[in-house]
Amino acid sequence: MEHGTQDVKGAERGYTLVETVIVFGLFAFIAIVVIALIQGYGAFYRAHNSSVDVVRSASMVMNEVRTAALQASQAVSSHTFPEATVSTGENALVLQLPSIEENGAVIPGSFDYVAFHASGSDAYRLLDTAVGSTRHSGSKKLGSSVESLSFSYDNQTPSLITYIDAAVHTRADVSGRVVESELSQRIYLRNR
Amino acid sequence: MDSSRKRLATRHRASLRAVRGGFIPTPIGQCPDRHRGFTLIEILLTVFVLGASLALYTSAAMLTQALRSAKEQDIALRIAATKLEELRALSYDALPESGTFEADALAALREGTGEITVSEYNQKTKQVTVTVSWNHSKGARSVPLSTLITEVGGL
Repeated sequence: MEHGTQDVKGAERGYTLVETVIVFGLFAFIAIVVIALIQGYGAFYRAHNSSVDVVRSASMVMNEVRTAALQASQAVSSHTFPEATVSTGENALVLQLPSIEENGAVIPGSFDYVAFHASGSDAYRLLDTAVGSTRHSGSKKLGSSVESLSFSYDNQTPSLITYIDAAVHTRADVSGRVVESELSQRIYLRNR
Repeated sequence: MDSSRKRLATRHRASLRAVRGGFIPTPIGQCPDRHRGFTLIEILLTVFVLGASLALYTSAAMLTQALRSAKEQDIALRIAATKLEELRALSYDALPESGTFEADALAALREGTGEITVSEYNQKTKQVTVTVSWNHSKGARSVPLSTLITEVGGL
């Protein structure tokens, strides 16, 4: 191959300085673009993941409270669970549920107790069941990133409560961006 | 004689010029760079990289929108359920006429509105439907919840 006045074969010709500089420049440019793309997507993925977690947690807590309240015979002032003693108040709720045996019949005079409370940034459901009940005792983590879990009632006396205003606020801080979810619902007890 | 030699020389010069200009097809390896096109591999790589970035971008945009939609739907469902509970807690005779209702949580939805429809199901039963509508970026959305409320019986 002949180029200009140089009479050297192509295979033995090196790259000129300009060519090398251009190649390095292009390489750096492409590398920066690709790295920015990957990092941007990684950041987006993390942010999205925690948004999903925030929305799901709020929804999960609310669903569990509703499910328990619809089965409850009444709210009680406090109950001692194997894990802790929980009292009904602004930040916790303790409900008394009629025990149900395997065939679906209510066991007379036998009750299960369920409590909802937040500890740190996690919301928990505690369950203490009577002998023969189909419900399973134990603590269950309902959601994380819980900023606040609050309850208010129509009556100060737990046993006279007819409805519960439950509100849950979840929030996460992902690389400077705040994602949050707020849900509130009024649940009437089916006890009267 | 003289003219035929001259013609031959002209033709020779023309073919020489053609070779210098590179018009004559030569094996690929020896082709000057500016006449070489892109190879199939290069084109495929370019299309793949561009396609992958486009796919990442669109999926990211769609995920964000889907999440927002789920969040709004959840809020709307809570509003409708709360209203339905309130209506159930009322006595049969105190059920309101069909119309709109207000709720604080509606402010969390874009152009959120609430509507109640009460209709006679039979002589001793009313059908109540609570619909929460709002404006989603892809048009209007709504969550309807329906229940029957009887003259006798509690919640």
